[in-house]
Amino acid sequence: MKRVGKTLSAMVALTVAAACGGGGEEAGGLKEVTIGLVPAAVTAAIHVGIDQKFFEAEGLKLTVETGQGGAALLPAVSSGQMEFASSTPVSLLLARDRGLDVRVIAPWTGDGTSAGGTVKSSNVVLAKDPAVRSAKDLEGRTVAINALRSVGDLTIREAVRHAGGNPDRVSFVEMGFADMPGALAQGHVDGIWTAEPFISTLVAKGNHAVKETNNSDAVPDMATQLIFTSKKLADNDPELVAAMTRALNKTLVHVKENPEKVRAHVPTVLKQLDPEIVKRLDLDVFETEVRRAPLERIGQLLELEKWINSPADVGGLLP
Amino acid sequence: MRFIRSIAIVTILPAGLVTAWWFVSLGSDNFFWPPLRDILGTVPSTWLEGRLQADVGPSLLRLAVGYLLALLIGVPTGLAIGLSTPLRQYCEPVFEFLRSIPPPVLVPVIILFAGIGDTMKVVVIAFGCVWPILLNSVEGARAIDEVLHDTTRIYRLSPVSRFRHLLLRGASPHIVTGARQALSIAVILVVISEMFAASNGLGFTIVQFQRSFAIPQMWSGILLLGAIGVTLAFVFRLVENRVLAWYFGLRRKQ
Amino acid sequence: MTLTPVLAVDHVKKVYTTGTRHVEAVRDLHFDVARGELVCVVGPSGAGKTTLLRCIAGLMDVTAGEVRLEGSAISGPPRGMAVVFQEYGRSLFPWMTVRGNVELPLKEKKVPRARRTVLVDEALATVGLDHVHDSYPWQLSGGMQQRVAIARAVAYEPHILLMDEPFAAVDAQTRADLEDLIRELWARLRVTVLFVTHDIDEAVYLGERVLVLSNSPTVVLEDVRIDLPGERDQLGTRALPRFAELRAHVYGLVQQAKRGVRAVPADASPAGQTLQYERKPS
Repeated sequence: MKRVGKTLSAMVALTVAAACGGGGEEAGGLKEVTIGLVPAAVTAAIHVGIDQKFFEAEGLKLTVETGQGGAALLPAVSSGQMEFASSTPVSLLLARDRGLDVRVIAPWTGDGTSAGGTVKSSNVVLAKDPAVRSAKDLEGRTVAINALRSVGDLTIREAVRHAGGNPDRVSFVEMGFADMPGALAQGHVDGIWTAEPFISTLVAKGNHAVKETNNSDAVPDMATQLIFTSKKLADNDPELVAAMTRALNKTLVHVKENPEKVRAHVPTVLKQLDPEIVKRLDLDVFETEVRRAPLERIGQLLELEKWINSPADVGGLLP
Repeated sequence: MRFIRSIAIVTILPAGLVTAWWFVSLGSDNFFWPPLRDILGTVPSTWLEGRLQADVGPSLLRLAVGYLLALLIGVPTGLAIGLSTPLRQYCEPVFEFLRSIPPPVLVPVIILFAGIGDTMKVVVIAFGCVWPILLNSVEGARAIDEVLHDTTRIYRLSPVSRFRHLLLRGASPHIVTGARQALSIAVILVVISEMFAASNGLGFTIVQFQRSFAIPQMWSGILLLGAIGVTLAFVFRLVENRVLAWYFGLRRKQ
Repeated sequence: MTLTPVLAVDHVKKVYTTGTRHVEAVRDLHFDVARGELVCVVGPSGAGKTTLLRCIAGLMDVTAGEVRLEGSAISGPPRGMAVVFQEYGRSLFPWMTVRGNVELPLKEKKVPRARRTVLVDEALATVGLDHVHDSYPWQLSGGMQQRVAIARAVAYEPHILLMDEPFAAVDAQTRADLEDLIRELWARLRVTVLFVTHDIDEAVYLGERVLVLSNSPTVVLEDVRIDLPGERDQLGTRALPRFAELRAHVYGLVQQAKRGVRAVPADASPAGQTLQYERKPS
């Protein structure tokens, strides 16, 4: 019976692989690989890297997949549908804790608190009620975040705790970033966890940032997205993974120095975006190293919140 | 004996499928497709330690309120419209338009006036359920025999009695058909509405399990959802057999 | 005859209007039904019998003239009137038991429960259905279903009972039984009955008077007095020479009606005046 199960799993895996055109195949001397990234402006950076032939130089023919949202990328990499993808450090640590062996191979974006001096990309809680000034004032209030059990609630709860409040007294509710300004204006929620370009617009309308609720207050230098692969691929084809890491690092160094190239590629990713908005868009900070300290810090918080059962396996996650 | 046989007929395929699933998945090492044994093993710790009240309870309550609201609005409105040909002709295009809007698309609009709490979820469920009930009630009212209408007029039945004894009962075969369609829509919409701005509920919990990679727990939630669907369908069948006993008898006779 | 009429049909005219089309179904109907009478209405098919009945029942508005029940003009189904329809299968509520069907109009009339029980029991016993109280109508034969409809009408204690070709859809044997049932109920309860039929034999056998209608647009062709003995039975009465004469007379009238003859022009009888019967021995 065990063999039947194995055979069936293998068949499922094969079918899935076949349906997705397979990976790691030779094509004109290049190895075909796929990377899954979220449909966001920062994803434009990967196209700059492709234009610069960083991937070709490593013998890779890279396909960028942005059809799937962040939630589907971990299963996709784990099942072999794609070789690489990006995810948040919180998701990656949670996945490892549940037994999904994922490995970070390169940095991607971050808060860049110490790196670039700008914290614009970082999320913060905005409130309408002047009475809500500090994180402690969020007690008994409702805060909207984009996903529960992720960076938002993790850092806000830490901010409340740090301010001397009880994080269990804050209610969190999940909604899309785009729906948050409306919910705040209508008074459905007391605070929203949001980022640029919403912050400037909402502050101009009389809302204010709640003190010390910035991501970087809870976790300095936090990575927002990291590039990862599966253990299977890391074990079976370390050369391929190493080549990908080198190409990604070259790309990151290049886009850090040439942000206008990234901006030029935004329409490649977000086809419907208004060109005026593209011009004014604040791009995230691209990281050139995977920092261990912020990951350790996230691990501590996850453990404190009992979202993970055993101490966070940061060592296993990093290359 | 007949009872035992009908039970056997109903259960044999599900039992077979579950057994097949059990054995086929036994050796699975796929993270996202755990063995059924592991899934069932997580049921006690996942659901029996508070989540039944904390999540399943609110979901069932929303379902019940939304569904009953749809019945309370849909049946009388549908019957009233079904009685009047001009009214029906006026309303039909509007209804066809409204019913073809998938309720999930309307969630942001519904949030604007109903907020993000239980009211919104109930409105989403009621909005999705009301159309099959209403449109079938219209058909039900139309299908009532003219001679029965004449009979209630001759014996001077009051409007309330006509509604109770003629319209409601006479249209009940159609209403029940609509209500059955609405029930499965309700189950789907409970889950969908709980994906927006929720902080508890079965749909919410399943998504959270998926997000936090608690895959066996996620599967157990899906199984629980299916079990709720089956139970509701079974209860519905009991009610239907009671309410429409006359109709089934009449049909067998013809 | 100058009996106090229970029902007065006073120069009733009915024109159907659909869009710009006007169809005159009933031109001028004028007759009275006295208390305790059993009057049959016959006419060729398409004579507007059903239109007439629906106008009298208040299910349909008249275009001109009026229908008075016990002196007051009706608009809508009046109190004290019961109707037995031809379509027995369609006039009983299939979701109610036999008892429920008979009882519903009484509940609606706010008859107290004890009295209701008596009325329902009696009515069902009268039509010979004491054993099927808790059955549903569709579990019964056609004849039995029509008996339930009659029981419902009888239990209602109407001042006038209208019957619209009630036996058209039952078999011949059942039909004979039901005809006798009507005679018996009429004789016993002294209820006023207006019985519409297309069957000449049935009209002559049942009625004290037979109104023969003309073709549409309808007028009363002749009001025939049926001077047969009060006690009637299917074999004896139908074998009487007088029965044959009356039957032949009515048959002749219906044949004339089919040809479009209007023996009694509507204008010839002014409102309120008692009709002159054309008496023909044979």
